[in-house]
Amino acid sequence: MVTRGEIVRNKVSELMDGELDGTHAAKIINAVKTDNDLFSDWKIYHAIGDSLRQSAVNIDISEQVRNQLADEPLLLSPYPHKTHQNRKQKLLGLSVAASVAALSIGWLISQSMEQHETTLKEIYVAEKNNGKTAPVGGPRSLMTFQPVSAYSSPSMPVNTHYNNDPLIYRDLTYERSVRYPATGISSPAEVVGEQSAASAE
Amino acid sequence: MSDREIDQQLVEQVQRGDKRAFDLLVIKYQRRLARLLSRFIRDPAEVEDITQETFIKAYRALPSFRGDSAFYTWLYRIGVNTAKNFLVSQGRKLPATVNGFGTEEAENFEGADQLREVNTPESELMGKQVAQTVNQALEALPEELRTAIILREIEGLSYEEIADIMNCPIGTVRSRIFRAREAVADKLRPLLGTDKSKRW
Repeated sequence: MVTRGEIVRNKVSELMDGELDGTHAAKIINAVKTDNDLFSDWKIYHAIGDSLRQSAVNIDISEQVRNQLADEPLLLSPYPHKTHQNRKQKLLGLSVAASVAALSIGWLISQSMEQHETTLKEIYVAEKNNGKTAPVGGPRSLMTFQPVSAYSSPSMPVNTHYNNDPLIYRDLTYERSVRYPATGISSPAEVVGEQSAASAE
Repeated sequence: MSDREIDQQLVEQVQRGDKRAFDLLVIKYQRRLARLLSRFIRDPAEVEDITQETFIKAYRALPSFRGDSAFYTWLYRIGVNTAKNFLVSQGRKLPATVNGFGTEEAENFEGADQLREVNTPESELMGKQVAQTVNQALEALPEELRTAIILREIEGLSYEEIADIMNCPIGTVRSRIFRAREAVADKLRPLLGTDKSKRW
């Protein structure tokens, strides 16, 4: 019968080999840190691996390093980790791009609306002057009315149903869904930090 | 989660103030680092000191480590620089291998067979006993377990690759490697002073 201990040790073995998924790996790492038996397994499994790889060196300085670090202050990294940083930077870049796209589209819409407003006014004035009635469709709603484009032949009306344009909706919706991160730009000190760590030796 | 990602996770835990996570990294890399440093330093006691000093320096420098390179590459670089500085401070000539030793070499360093003996008499004896015990335990394993652990530990193959070679499911590979490790560990525990009788 497989015991619980064997199952967990099996996971430690998989963790060592880089074969555990993220969630399980995090759990097992915590277990190894807190359980002395699992910690000892971690130690012994690595000793086996090192021996099989014919390491000519047989040292175990982990105890000495631990003792020496006992007086060291706890590390609290001032910098968020790179992957988080990248995520933030990507998000920020995405937000900026989405904002620019939304502004451009907004500007285009407003330009088109102004243009259509002018066109509509011109049409109404022209129709009034010609003694025709107002077009069917009731009150003039720019979003539903199909005016004749100033740039097209009257027989070839241009579809300007902006409110039905999925592209516009998609961009506007996307823009709303993007959250602006509070931070996310790495300082130059971070970039040089790692290099200086290694070269400071 | 790859080996590098696991290291990165441990590094992040150390960066958040968890010293125990650093213990796991020390245990994982101490022999590999010592083996690397023994290319430059002859005296086994000095190799041990420099290995230890490298880990202390690495710990102190960890807040600035952002994971642009693998942890072990970064650690090896610190180790090589520490060894260089040590040799200079002793007024000794740097071996030719030190100056030409870059990141790439550190990353691909697996030259155990090219190394001279770097153990103290005590550690040499212990090393021999460990190696002998491991080899005997390995010999006693059923062939499929022995093959699985050799492909993993010596050839460095993934479970998937081993499953392909051994023509069996990945789950079987997991189980074989674990059982092999357990069998060898059982023989090794008395030697290393870890008692299994109190285990759950």
